[in-house]
Amino acid sequence: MTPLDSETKSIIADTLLRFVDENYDAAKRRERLKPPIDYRLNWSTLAELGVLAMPFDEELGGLGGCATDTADAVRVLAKGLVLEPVVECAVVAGSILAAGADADASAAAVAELIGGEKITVKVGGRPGLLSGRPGDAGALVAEKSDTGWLLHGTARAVMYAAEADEWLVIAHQSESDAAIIFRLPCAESGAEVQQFRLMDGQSAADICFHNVAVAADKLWLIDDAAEAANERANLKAVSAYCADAVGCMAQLLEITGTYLKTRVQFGVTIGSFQALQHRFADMHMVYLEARAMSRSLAECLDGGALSEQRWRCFSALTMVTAAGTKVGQESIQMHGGMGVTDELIVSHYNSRLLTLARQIRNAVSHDITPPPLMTARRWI
Amino acid sequence: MSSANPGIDFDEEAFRAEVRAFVASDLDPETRKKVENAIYLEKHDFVNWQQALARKGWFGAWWPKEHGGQDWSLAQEHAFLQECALNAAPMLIPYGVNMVGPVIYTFGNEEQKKKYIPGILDNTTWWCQGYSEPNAGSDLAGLTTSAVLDGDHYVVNGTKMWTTEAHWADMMHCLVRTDKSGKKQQGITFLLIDMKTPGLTVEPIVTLDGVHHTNQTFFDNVRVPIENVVGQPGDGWKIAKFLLSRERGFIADTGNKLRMIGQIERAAMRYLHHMPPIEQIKLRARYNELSAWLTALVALERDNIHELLAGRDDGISASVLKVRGTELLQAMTEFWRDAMGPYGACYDAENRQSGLGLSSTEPWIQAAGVNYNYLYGRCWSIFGGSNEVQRNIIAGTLLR
Repeated sequence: MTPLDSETKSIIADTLLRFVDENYDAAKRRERLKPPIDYRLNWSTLAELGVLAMPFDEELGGLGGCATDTADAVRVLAKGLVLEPVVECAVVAGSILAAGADADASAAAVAELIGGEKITVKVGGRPGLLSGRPGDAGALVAEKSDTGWLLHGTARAVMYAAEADEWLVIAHQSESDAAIIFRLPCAESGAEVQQFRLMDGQSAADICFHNVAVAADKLWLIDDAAEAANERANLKAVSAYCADAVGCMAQLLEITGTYLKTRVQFGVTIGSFQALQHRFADMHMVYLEARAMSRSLAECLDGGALSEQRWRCFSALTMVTAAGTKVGQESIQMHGGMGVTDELIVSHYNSRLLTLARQIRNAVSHDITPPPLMTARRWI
Repeated sequence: MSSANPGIDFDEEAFRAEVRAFVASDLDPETRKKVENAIYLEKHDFVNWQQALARKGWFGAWWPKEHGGQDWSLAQEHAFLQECALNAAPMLIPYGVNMVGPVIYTFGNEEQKKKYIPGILDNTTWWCQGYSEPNAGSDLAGLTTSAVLDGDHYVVNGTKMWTTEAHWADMMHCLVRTDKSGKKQQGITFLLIDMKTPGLTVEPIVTLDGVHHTNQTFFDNVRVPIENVVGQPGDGWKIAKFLLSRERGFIADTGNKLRMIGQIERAAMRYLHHMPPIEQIKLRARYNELSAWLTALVALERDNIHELLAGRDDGISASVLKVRGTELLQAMTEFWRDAMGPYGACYDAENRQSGLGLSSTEPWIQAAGVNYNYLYGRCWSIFGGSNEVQRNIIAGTLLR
């Protein structure tokens, strides 16, 4: 896939920045974090601005953005620490909706998503499909029944599952172990939902199915097609979350750099101390590596072989989470007392980085190994 | 993927294949074996390879056409260097082709170009570099080796440190002080010195790997003709800055690291299963981290080239690549030692003089190659501007 032209991209970036400036003023956001949090507050605005249409092909009513375009957009949006499920719905679930077995149904579902009428999120389908609480296998299993399927198991800490209208549930088939994806309206799903708040204010939930009957017409994808769509969605999730983390790091470097240049202690700016200068240089360097790796992953999703995409996912996971931890925590440390306040945005970026690290780990395949001997060429 | 990159003016895949084929056919197999096995390289290993490249028209192909190059872009030079290193060609000795050559064609006069450029491009002149001094390392501008005008000669007195391969050299390009009156960056002059001039002596310095790579060079009333000044007297600092910026261009040296990670994996696979399970888990996790880091460094190096091709230079990208590239190299060699298990501390420089090196079946001989890379690897974070100086540059630019 080829990236959008630079003019279109700069219009998108400007639009996103304006959205962030108008809707995500730091003080207003803090106010909004008081429960109950409205996670759909800006959803219709995001739909009107075309943000939700970004990653879809033009024939589906999208803007035709490739993974690189999506990553670039998410990086800009990162500044706002948004509380709407843009990545979870438009990028991740959207990727599976667009890959539906029935082309007409796919087009209709994508149209609803782009229009902001329906929020869809992916439930389950974590690589390895393991999770959660001690003593609980956790995996979602679908058993064939006379009228359709019986769904059993628990999906853990699923982003925005309690706020969604619709789930794409990824399960194992009990007989073959192959993947299967159902598209279920949440309200009538019969699942138990336990919602909780993440440290950055986002929402997640455990979704528990106790032999829930699922009608045959809820089947969205099955077998290899389901497996492939789920993996593709996970790859896109890693890429988008990495871009989000890179955007957060860029903000922290700017804020912390300004602070080092202006904060006076012992009669001089604290940025004149070599100990802090070198630590700041270290933050900048790991940020650059994370940014390069995130870009390289997105480019690879647009044209590389699957094995390369998997390897770059692991590399991005390693580099971005380590850099995020360093940049987040060092930014707090360098701000001293102010760094540990809730008022200053710095700690909120750190919380988002920690949340993103969890998301990235959740979506990276468990069975990746580095490219075997003599294939280092693949990394070039 | 690489073909989709904007600003690339050559068919990268085809070119890389051509370089690979050339290395396979024209690199002396003996030299290749030495590089692959971390055996000591002699002068002729480097010279023969560079002359093979010159015959192909690839030595200095990144120079401008008017001076004997082919105007290769940064991207093409990068692909070339990466492929050569990945396929076990020796590194290019930079002192002539990448240092004094560009200085002479940029700042030199016509006579100097005619006299020195051919010897650089056909590798008949071996150059060395005389910059650092006992009291001017990272703080290069503190240099005191003096050059005093006496008729049509400069008389040079003093000493230069870390004059690497000076014992193989025909010529030295040297920074000398011709004026002590102004700021320390002023009054420095770029001088070309024939190594056979009376009064010049080269004393070996053996580094921590037990190898004689480098030297201290002494000047006792060494008479250098006045026409050996490049540029004007006092231009030395300007030229040194021009040079150091070029020296750091491809400092991340990813081709070598991509080859080394394969060597490391071979070593790890050989010894890992003899280790306690907990040690195996640690080493596997670390190996994966290092591989991820290398993948990111390759991506960062590419990003940097694209930025430079697009005419954007943040002034610190070379410093970033230098610091992170050398830190990764050191981390890789530390890991490599760990992967050798009980043989991780074996080192006898004699075992690198000849023989099978890394491909030996005797682990203590293999370890000599590993520990050579570890020990010599300690140099990388110091020379070319120490990593501390690079961090000063990075923070100084970001916090300006």
